[in-house]
Amino acid sequence: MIRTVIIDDEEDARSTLRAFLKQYCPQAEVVGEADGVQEGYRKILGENPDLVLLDIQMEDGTGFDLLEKIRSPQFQVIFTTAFDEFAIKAFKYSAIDYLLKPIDPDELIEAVSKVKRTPSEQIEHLMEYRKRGSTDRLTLSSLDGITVVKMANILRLESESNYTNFHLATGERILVPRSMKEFEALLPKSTFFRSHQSHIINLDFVKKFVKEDGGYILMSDGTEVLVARRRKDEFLSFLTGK
Amino acid sequence: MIVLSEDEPAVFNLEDGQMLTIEVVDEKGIRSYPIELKTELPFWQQVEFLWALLLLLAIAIYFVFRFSVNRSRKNAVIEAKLAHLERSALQAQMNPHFIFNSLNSIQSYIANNENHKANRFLAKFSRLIRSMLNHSRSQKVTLHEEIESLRLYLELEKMRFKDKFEYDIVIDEDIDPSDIELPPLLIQPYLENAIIHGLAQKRSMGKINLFYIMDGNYLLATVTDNGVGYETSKAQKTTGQASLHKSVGMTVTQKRLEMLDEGNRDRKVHIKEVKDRFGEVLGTKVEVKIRVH
Repeated sequence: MIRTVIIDDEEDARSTLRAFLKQYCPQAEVVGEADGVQEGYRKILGENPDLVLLDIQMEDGTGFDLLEKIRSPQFQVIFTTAFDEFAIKAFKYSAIDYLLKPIDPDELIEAVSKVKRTPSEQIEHLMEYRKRGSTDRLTLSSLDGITVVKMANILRLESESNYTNFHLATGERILVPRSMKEFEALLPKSTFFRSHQSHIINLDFVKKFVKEDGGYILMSDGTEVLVARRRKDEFLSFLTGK
Repeated sequence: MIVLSEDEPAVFNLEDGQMLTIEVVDEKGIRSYPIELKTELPFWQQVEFLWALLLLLAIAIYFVFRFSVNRSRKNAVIEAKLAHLERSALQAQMNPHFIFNSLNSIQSYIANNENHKANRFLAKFSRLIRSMLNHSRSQKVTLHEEIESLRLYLELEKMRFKDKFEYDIVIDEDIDPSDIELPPLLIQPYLENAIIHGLAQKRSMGKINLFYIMDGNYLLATVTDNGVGYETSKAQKTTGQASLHKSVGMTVTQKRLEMLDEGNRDRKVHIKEVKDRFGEVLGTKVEVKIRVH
């Protein structure tokens, strides 16, 4: 059984989650509910749950405040939010699970199906973004686990259907089950360039542009990356502009 | 050349500005000095005058032009301001939190098989959205329509907060609510504030009163609640976005009230805590002055 605590200051939101878990996620058991940060903190300490569904805006504080108190959680946290652009950005950078309210049962089922402990690096990354409003790192959640990488150390990204393959400067590869489009929005436009439908490159690692065969980019690790014809001019102006 | 004779005086009709030169020639062909007879043009036909007139006209045109440009620019600025305020009023009213909270409530009714509540809520919610959309296009609505919208809003919040409060809307007997027109959705941010910051934090039953009375050219709207009070709610307030949004709504209303009553710089909104004689907070009272005539 997945022992679950629901923390949300709206009674409606809690009752929806309760009903949905019962209906769609029978492996989850609600062992506690709380309507705020203080109460939620007590419930977590008392129940030692596997999963915490955590609202962001509550009367006596935010879900972030609660996580900050715990830092190294022994449970998985899934945030729930209705309307908070800034928080959603933070979740994306730190790869923290979140559900938008009203809640899509499919997303709930997916999030609950892979419950595991949320690593503290991920929480720290989330808090860093929240404090500074920006980050130079990206949390990659692959099937093997969580890796927090410096964006400057990402050499290139290659899309493989709904997966994205990260090639790091160290030669390491990380396959992440998310579409490349999601990452395109997170990477800084000044250094990352989408050269092709399935390629994003870090301009700092470009060795040269080869004109033969319609043009391709030679990266510093020796790999060749395609350039779409439409993007060639933009790419060249990027190179000469730098 | 005219030969003059003694008994036949020559008569010339000189038109304005024409010149007649007279030279006398005797039989021997000796000419006298020419004498020029000239009639002056009337001043309005003289070149200098025409130039001056032209110049004056040009200056006048310039000033008229500049004035009208200025005015239309000013008008454009005012109109843009108004449009912006109307839009932000709509946005403030369509507080995304309110919309999403409402949708969440509907979802909770569905999730818990509360069909009757889901239908009630959904119907009221869509009626409110419809009237908001309609009113956003019109500058003014009747007090009657305004109260209708506010009632829907309060009903929805009442359902959402599980009947944690009750409300009362009273209009003074002298007022005919279909006779008075006012910009839509002015009071809503104050009701929202009363509910969320005054009553939501309160354990016992909440009560909101909205009272309309005429005061000369002004419609006076008073919102009172028995909540935790302005100061307390401010102190308890977290850095949440929800609270931030409220003040946006109230700021917009204040600006709209000021623009409605240009030339009068009186404060339009008075917010104060109501205390008993022991200094205990009884609630919050908000007075809003709306120019309607």
